[in-house]
Amino acid sequence: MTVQSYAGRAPRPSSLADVLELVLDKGLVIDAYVRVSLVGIELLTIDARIVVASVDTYLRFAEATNRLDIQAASNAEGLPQLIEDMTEKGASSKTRGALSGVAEEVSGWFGRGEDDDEDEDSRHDGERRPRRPARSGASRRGRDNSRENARRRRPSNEDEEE
Amino acid sequence: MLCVYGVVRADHPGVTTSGVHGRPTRIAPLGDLGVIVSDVDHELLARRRDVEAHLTVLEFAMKHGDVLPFRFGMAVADEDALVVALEESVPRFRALLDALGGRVQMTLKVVRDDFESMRAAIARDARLRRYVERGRDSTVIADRIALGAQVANAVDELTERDAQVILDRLETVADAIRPNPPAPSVVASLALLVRPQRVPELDSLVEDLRQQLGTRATFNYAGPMPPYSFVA
Repeated sequence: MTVQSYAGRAPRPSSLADVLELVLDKGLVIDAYVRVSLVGIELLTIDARIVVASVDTYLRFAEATNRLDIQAASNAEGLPQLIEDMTEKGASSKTRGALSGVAEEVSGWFGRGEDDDEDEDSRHDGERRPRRPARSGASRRGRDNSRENARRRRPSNEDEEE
Repeated sequence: MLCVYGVVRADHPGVTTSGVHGRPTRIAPLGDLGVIVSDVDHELLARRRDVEAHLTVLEFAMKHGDVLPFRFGMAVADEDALVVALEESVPRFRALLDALGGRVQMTLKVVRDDFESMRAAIARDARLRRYVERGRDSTVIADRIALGAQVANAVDELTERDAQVILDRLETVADAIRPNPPAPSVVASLALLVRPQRVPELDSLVEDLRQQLGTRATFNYAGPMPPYSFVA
């Protein structure tokens, strides 16, 4: 079988991670009871966690907008467009619920007192980062809870204008 | 101990490149089929060199006939154990070889550039553009989060639409498509099953998509390779 080559195509995926995903995760297998046990193979798992929308991501994008030249961006509208039917309505309707929800929640959390420990989510606190005395308890709690809220609020679609 | 690479038809001429640990490969009979194997002395580790040797053997085999690839790291005690392990699967392997009919696997992974995607998402949405212009100078944390959420969602929406367009276009050339699990910033990660003679058609289709997405995504397009994603 011969296939003409084309510059934009490699014979195999270029990153080792993609190669490993291919040969360790795909392909025929032999039943474990006949197979010789191989140390080292089982330890490699492919990490493919789904992104969870988080306040961190939002802040990163907000920061990025400050680096954006809006005038140039609007002039760039004439660039090849893959998406023709993107309407203003389409862009805003889906995001509004999550958006106002997060903003409300976060304002709420940041306004809280220092020693309000009642509904601290220790599960997230403990897993994500060890408690560090240098950081204010209130702001850390604010982050983790607002992330929870962002996720929970996402499907809601309350029609509140910003 | 035998390292197992792939199932081929009995008339396959064999593979002359060396396999894992630099050892020569041979074809062990399995009913009216054959299995490409090589001897190995000690345990297999997923080292780059050996993983690549596994791939190289299969790519070589594919050039001289159809092959059903095994996952890296499959090993059995000897040829008897190989037959015990696989003889029940012979009808399935034969059916699979017939069904694949010489088709090859191509992979396409499209990863977005967040900043360029943001630029594109804002450029095509006048309302969002006004909102960003008005709101980006605020230092109030709730405003920052609200703005970022609006932008992040617009970017995700653009990504979803791009992903759908990519899939729709590729379906016109591929006989089957298997998506890999979603991952951060990945617009599309797909295994495509195509007839070798349609690969040039796929090449130009991928090139079109690459130009359409411009700077907002990078393409990692590879193949032809044995149909890893279509044999399990």
